[in-house]
Amino acid sequence: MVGSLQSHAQLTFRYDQERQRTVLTQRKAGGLCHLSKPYWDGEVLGLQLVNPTAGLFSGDSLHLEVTLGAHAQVALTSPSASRYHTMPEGRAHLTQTFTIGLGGWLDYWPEMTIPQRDSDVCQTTAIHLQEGSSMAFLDLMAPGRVAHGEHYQFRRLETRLVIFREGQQLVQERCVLEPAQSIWPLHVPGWDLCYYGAVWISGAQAAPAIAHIQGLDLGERANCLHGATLVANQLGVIRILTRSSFTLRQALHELRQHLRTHENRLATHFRKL
Amino acid sequence: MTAYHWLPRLLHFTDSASPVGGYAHSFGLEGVCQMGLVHDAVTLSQFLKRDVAHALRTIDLPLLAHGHQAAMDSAQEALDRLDHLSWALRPTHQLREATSKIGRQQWRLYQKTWNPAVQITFVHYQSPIVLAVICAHEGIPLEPALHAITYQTYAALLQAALKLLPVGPTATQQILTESLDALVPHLDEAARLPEAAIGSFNPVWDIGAARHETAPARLFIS
Repeated sequence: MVGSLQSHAQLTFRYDQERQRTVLTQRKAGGLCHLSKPYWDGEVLGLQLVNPTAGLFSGDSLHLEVTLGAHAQVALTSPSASRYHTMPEGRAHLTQTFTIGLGGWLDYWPEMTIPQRDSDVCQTTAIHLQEGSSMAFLDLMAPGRVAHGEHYQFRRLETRLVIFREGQQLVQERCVLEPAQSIWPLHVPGWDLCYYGAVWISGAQAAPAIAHIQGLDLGERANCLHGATLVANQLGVIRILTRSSFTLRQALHELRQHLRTHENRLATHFRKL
Repeated sequence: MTAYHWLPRLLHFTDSASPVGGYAHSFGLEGVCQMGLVHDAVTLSQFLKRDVAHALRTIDLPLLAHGHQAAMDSAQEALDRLDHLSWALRPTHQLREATSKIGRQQWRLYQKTWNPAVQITFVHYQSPIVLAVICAHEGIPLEPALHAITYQTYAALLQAALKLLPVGPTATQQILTESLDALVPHLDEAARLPEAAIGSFNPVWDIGAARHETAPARLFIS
């Protein structure tokens, strides 16, 4: 499509034994993916992934490849919501691959993804965990650009998530949302809007963290539903549905505080304005 | 009659009295009932025709079809991969366990009572793959096998619903008939779904099933 962008961003991190810190060793960015300056907080290297077009347009394709070498500790976020812009025709593609090496730590905590009117996007996320690695991985979905009176007006949103550890598949999820046919399954009876969040927790702290979250009530029950489960050895997920973006943000903030009691590396400050 | 030599085996296998432990599971239905989202015959019917039908079309039916073909081809590596995929597709710990417990019991029963000569081992013994192997070994064609798993799934949930909800046996039979009739036209399409496209997303059901794991009181294991 004329004017569309195809970008392949590669970020590679390793733990520098001599400097005793994680460093960014390969930085291939540009096009649809730019980077903030890395910030070392003494334990974790924090970065913001910046999309100069604030999202994807029709025909755009972004392949993001993040690789953490052994013992690298990285926190990634985005400065603001990512949008799948209005696209009366065509489709955009986002492919994300995360590989976390031996003993590595990835804290992936981006802002919301907002599918705007008529957008059609195929999003694939693959996570490869190596022995002794751990992560907190946040996945978010909004029903649309609600502040502009747009919700459930995107054409199609297809997402696929796979998680592997040591080459063995642990998770496969596939979601196809076509609101013109039905807003289900991004829908809770009695709610006019529904926001979705999932936090995947991997590592030795996953079991105690999930057990902790299972005993909690996050937010007001009428506006927030959540469930936590340990799907595999050292891999759990907390799924959240809320009636508003504000409630989701509050629930995630509260959740992160609770998770910090099990995983101190979640104390990373993202230095957002 | 010889064309239907497999029918007695299929009827035996799909009998709800078959001791594979299905009666102890609600497969997340109790969780969504506890959340108040399924509470009567109308919401139960919608849950079966929409949520359960979607799970069958995007997970269990295609897994059974791929497993049946792999078993016909004696492709053990593919069966192992599908057994693992079936486990990875289940969204909660309890649902993974439930599908494996039932599959393991199905396999034990099959080996003890029908065909001790078949020696296959799995890591997870996920029930759609176990069913696929049994059907292939007994000469049961794919199409009746698809009907069997569909019937078993709906029947198990409706048995659980009788204990969980104010619905009677006649109403559940009506819902069963409607649910089966609605899904049958989609069996062929579901069976042809490529392996990479298998998978589902149903956060309400997933949250209900996850909350059920720590519910203070419950009738069912899952």
